[in-house]
Amino acid sequence: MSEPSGPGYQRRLHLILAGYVASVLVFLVALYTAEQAGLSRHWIGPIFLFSTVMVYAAIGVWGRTSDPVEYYVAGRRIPPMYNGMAAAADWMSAASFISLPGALYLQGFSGTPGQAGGLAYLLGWTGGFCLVAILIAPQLRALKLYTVPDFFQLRFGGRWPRRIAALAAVLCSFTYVVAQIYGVGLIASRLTGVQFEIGIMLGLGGVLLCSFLGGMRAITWTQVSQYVVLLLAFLIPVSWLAWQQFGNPLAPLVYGTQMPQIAALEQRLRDDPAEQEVAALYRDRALGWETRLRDVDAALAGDREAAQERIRAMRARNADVGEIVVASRALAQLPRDAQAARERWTRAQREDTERGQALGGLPSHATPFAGDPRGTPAEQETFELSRRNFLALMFCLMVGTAGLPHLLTRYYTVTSVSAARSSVAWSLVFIAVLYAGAPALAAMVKYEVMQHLAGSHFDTLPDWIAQWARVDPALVSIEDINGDGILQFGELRLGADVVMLAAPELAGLPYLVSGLVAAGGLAAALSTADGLLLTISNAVVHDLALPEGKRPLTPEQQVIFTKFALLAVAMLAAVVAALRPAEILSLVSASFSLAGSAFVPAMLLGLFWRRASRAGATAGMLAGLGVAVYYMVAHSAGAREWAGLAPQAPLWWGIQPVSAAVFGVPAGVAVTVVVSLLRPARPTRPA
Amino acid sequence: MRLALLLLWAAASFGTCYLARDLQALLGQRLQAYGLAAQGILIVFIVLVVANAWYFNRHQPEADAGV
Repeated sequence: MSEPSGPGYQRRLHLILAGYVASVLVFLVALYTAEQAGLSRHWIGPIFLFSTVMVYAAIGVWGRTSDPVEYYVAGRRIPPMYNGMAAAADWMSAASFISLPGALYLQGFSGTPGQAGGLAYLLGWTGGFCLVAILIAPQLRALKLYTVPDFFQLRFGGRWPRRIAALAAVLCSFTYVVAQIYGVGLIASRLTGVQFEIGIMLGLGGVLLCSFLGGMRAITWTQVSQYVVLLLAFLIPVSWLAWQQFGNPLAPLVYGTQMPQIAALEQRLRDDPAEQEVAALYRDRALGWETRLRDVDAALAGDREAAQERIRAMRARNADVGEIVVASRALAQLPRDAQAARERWTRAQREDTERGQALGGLPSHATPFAGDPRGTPAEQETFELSRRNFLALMFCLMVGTAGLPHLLTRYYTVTSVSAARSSVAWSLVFIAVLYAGAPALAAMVKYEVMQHLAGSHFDTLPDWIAQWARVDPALVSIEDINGDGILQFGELRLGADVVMLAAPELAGLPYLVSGLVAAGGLAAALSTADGLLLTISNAVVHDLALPEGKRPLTPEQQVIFTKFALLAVAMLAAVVAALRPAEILSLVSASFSLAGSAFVPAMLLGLFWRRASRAGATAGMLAGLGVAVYYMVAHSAGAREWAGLAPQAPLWWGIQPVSAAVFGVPAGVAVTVVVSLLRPARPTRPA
Repeated sequence: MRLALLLLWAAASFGTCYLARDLQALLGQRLQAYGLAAQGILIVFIVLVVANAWYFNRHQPEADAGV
């Protein structure tokens, strides 16, 4: 494959793309008729799963290569528009596609005081592209590099800047890829009904087929095709819902009229006595947790005693073995020690307190920030905190965008510097098409749930609720707490990761659309995972494992090593994902914070400040990364338990741990500047 | 030019969000702060990036590697 990058090449690409889109549409229409004709639901899911993964794999096989320039940067001849598409798919991960509408649904404009979010995600993930376009992508493209850590070697020389950059790249990309594989597992297990862990393995096979064989070139074209799938998978349900609710498929233009209605529904639910009863019951429960937390040791000992007593009593009356097993399992599931009990009960207490508020703890949808700037001092403080955290999260996501290596390497693949600029613009356009629809979808789902689902009988609830609750109880939890047989809004709790996937079923669209949405989510997760895995393995082999001159490898050998590193990393990520460490969104935000604080200060100063020196960059990267990692670890419950740190470290200025880059970036900049001034670069090496 | 674009970027994203509550009071009921943030700012971002590409591709197509 050595076609030139002339107009003929581009015209051929346009033709191939048009043919591809047409065949996807034909495939959808065919499945739709099949469903109407009575094709079972059990078949539609697997058909989507396998056919899309097969298409991606076929493209991966077609684009296979072991030529280094092709493997690392796709031969540097991808036209800007297609690169923009690939970057958009690379960019829009499971977090954007699956979790963003959910976050907007749960958090409204700006999230609760305890967890900023909502539009901060949307703005952060798009606004970061301005930084990339203006400050970074063209400048990096001009240097003709292979990986992001390459830049640090070229600019600062020496080994350390590059090694640290590679380590940081591995760290943030790994956090990110775990979130993607978690998303893949979620979708695959829902589509096919297999276990979550097997779902992960299925999806992983698809990822590996593409990136293992073909490197950057195969990934680029798979990502273009995945973009098409995920765009269709997003636009079709959104437009369909909008057509149902407004009679106009252009959702982003019309959902504004929905907002006052949602506000009215929210008000009605707040005043509803049954809702208030539910909230009061949750408040009681939270109080119960609180009393136990006051004396954790005694409460835990009491629980243990009661459970053992029950088992003893069963043994005494020769109870059924099955019963005893159940009781012993309950005993084994009690927290191991007071520390674990405190963590678990604190979480339960927080959750129930949240649900004890009006609307199950959901903030009012369209109001910017919680609290009230003109209210009581407490309300004023809530407002300040909520606003500060919103801006902090947005800042982190923006600098993270500018620092994530898998996105930046995408702009190495275009033909020229100006193509890099146009390509960033294309990416943002392609991303915005989807992001403009996300708030519309959130609003429409919220309307649907508040208007139709709340108030229905427990016996007549749709199937999807039970099916999702089976995949993971954290996704959908439902409980008739006041025992009236009617679902109150406060009794239903949707996880952020489920809103998008369940939206078609919620609105009663054909099952085909659900399959399509799942396939879109899969495309989003796979495309990002591809790019990330390639970045990690490149960083490991190209930047870490091959010290200059020690044992020179031919480029082909390097590519082979990279492929094996990729395989190992993918397996490791799958293992971590199978442990279900956290929600997709929090994992992703954490990786953005890490990337932002590690790369952005040293990179920007390296590009625009001639006096930045090697020592400065090294110290700056370490400082930024160190501050961000410390702040996150010191405030994460699991890690704290593991490291045996004090149970509650105070937050700095009330900023939440996911937004650690707010401290990491300034620390990185300050340290880089100070150390560069103290230990300037030697004049022999031109800066 | 680069500085101007960055200033606009900061004003559009951080400025409007910081003042979102006050803007809502100013705009009244017809225009929603939510819609403004969700779509208005997105459009500003796109305009900025396109302007950046157009301007620099005209004035310095290949120069300015920064190093």
